[in-house]
Amino acid sequence: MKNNRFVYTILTPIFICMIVFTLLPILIGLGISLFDYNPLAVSSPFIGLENFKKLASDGVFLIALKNTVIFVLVTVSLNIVLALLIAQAISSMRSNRTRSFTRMIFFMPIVAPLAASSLVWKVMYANKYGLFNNILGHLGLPAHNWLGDPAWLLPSIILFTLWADIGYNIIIFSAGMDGIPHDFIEAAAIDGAGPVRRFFFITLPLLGRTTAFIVTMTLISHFQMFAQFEIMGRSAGSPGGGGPNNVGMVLTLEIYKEAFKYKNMGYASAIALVLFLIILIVTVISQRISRSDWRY
Amino acid sequence: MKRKLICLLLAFMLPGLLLTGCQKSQTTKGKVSDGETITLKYWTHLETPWNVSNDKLIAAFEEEYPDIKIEVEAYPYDDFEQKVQTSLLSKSGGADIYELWGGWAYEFAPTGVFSPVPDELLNDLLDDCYEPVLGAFEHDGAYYGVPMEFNAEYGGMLVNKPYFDEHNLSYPDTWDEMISLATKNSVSKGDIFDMRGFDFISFDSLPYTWLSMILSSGGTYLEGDTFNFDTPIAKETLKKLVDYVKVNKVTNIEGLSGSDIENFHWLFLDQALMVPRGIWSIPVGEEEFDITYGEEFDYVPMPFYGTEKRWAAETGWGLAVNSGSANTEAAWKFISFCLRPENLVQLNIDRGMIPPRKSVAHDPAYVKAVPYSKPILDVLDGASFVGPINTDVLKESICNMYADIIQNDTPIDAAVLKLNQDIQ
Amino acid sequence: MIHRKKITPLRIMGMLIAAVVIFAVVMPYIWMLLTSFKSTPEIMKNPDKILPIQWSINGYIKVLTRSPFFIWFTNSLLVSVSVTLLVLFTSSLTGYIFAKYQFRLKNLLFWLILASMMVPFSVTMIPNFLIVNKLGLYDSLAALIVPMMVSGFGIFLCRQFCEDIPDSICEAAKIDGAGDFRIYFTIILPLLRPCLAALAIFTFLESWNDYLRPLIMLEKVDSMTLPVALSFFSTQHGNDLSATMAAAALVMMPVTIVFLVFQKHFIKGIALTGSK
Repeated sequence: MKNNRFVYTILTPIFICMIVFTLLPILIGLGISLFDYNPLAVSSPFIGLENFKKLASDGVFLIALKNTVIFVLVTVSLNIVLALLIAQAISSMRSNRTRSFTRMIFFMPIVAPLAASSLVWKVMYANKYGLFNNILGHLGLPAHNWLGDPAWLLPSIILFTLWADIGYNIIIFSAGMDGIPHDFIEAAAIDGAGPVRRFFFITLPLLGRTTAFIVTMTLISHFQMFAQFEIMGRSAGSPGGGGPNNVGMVLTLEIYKEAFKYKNMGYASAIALVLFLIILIVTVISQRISRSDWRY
Repeated sequence: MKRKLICLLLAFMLPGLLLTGCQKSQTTKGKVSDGETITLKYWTHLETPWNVSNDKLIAAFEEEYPDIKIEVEAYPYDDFEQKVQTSLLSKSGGADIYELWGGWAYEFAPTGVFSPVPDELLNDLLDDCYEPVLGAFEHDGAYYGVPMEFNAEYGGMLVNKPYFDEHNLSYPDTWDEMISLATKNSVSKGDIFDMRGFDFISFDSLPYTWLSMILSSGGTYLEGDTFNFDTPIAKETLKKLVDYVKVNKVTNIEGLSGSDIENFHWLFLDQALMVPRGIWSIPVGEEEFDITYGEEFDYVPMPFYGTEKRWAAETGWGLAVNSGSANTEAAWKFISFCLRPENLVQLNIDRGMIPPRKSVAHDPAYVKAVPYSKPILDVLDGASFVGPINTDVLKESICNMYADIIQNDTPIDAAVLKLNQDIQ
Repeated sequence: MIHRKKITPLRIMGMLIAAVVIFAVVMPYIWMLLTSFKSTPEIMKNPDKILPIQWSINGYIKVLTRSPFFIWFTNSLLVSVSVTLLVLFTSSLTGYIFAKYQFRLKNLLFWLILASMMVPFSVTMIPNFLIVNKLGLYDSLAALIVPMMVSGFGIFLCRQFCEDIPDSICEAAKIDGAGDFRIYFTIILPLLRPCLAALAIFTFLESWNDYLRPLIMLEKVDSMTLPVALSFFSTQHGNDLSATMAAAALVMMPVTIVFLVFQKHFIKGIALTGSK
């Protein structure tokens, strides 16, 4: 169909909004990152690539970079593997009722704000009065300072994030598995393939497109995780979040802290651009790798 | 090609545009409505006893000045600093009068966002205030805020009275006695403590314990306006503090890491023996833990490390006026009203704080109403201003350094050098 | 199924594991609810008692009387509902245009939409703050609504679904004299219903749970949304655990209950978006 007047009257405001709040900010961010921009300061001089040079020697940034990469890689891979396993387990359940009940349970944490569930888990992780240490104590195992010990902080946040976020992927995988025609599986079963082989040689390849979608979406969303790092890493000794001595810092939190706590908006913009580049590269790579031609 | 050029141009021009825009949009706050009533916006942090005493004071003020109305907006502490900064930075909205922590004011003063203290009020204060309480409000000889309290995080400590009574122990008179008492009575299993002998680990206690130890052993960490911790005394005292956790095991660093619980909470829960903290913690304990001063706990003088009775204190809560406000004069009227000795005394009694003015601190009415303030009042003259720095940065850097030493076995020499760098 | 499976020991073990895992997933909810009925000193002093020794609703009383909880709730609801409605409208309309109309620059514009999906808020938060500030929206609920009105994901999703609608239907309607808007309202919208339901769930949850944006854009206690307002109960010196748990429960339970009631639609909706 054609009707330019209609099309452009609708699209103009839509694109203005999109440009102002999504695309323009990238350019502005790029611009700001070249200035020593502090809104409180009297002057904000142009400093070229100084902000980017500073990154290489900024210990906190390097920790944040390392943590972000580790967090995303570990959480996303665990998330996908577990989601696949659980989805497979769900699809092997016999009654429809248990199936939808199990799905519902796993999806429940998704509807709770991360900020609220982080607070609850923070109390569960507490050293003296927390749930986890109590269970360990009853089992006769040594307690851990989950959120205070640098070795345990990231694993603790990863465990929480898995709990909070895995539901989406379970549902999507589960739907994907339900969509696989029964003939395929039955034919394989008749040919003598066991459940493990069926999973790896039939289900998994047929879920190729779904997996590609899930991997990309999960990667993008995990690079942006913020609330749990701010809330769980926040304590009297590290009021801004990020854990003791910044051991739990991630890029999103550092951008926020630099920009809104220390007012180094120029420097924070440089970090933001680094994060943007990483997300861009990782997404493109993940799309390339997981692009699959399996169709049914 | 052309499009790329335009994009680049835009990218460079935009921050400039924004900058000029921000500076121009300095709007005026507060409205002078029909030339009669002036409404002042007053931002404070949220803490029940504070807000109650504020309301009382405001009611009294509005009675005396019927043409001025004060609207209070109280914020949770965690967000407060952020909100103050953001509002000063966005230069729209915001308040006429800000309650400010001296440590942050230090960074605002040079930016011109605050109106200087009127001369008359200033002269009155300069003679009558302790040194630490004005320190952070000064910039280039001018003052941009006034103190409402003397923030002492050192000089006195909370003690677990029932424990001392039961075990027939007396409160320590010397530093060494205190440490040996703490060591003997600490009970822990791994990282879990059942009794913390001397819990000096918190965002405030740790830095002030260390800085005061340096001062009271005759040293200093300030060279002019520069901080320097690479000195024998600083390293020796730091080594002691590290040993208290690693060797003596009188507490652990939970208070710096991953816990919302602070050292004085442990004392109120009967899980700590001695805790250096300001007297503001006493009403918190009485209200939130439902225990009584003089029964479940006591407040006593803390022995000094070394020979001199010197310690460090920072500029605590104060008030400042937005220089963009249309009603700075009315705002200063209110602040002068708060600082009148008779009002200040009541305010400090209600909040359980140490008064910033010498005349008020030794007012018999105050001493009588806040009996537990005595250990601190006795040593007020030994306090010196912590130094020209955003104290949040100082405290965070010291705490990070300490956590780093304990957790990663970083050598003390390297740690203090890094600290020097962090706070430059 | 080719043959009915018998109850084997392996299957029993599987069921047991499933039961344990399911319990572990629900555990935080149980813990939160039980803890919210304890007093703060009890939480800290008696960690090994799972059930409250003395049931107390002081946490809830404190949340509901000492904080503007209902204002926060209304703010959250207002923002999430407006954003959802606006996104449904803009996405379906734009998706319809991209699927059914021919115009210049169509490919470039669609590429822009895809590109905008790749731009995360954490990257643009600083310019976003500056722009919102410049537009005079700072510290208003509009700061959370206006920038979220257009969703690249929503447009993309709607376009995919619109493409499944045969062109002939639209063209037939056009020949019958129906205007563009009429076609949109009478033909496209009803056919997009499943897609819009899914998009609504996504958008609502995203907006309802958002933490970073309101943290940056809002200032006054009374203009906060629920996720940011939770820090209200951790004051300068410590944390009222009882009130915090009660507040967390009050924030988490309403959406959870809505979800439990409509869970079938939720799960169908999510699954639907995954297939596109």
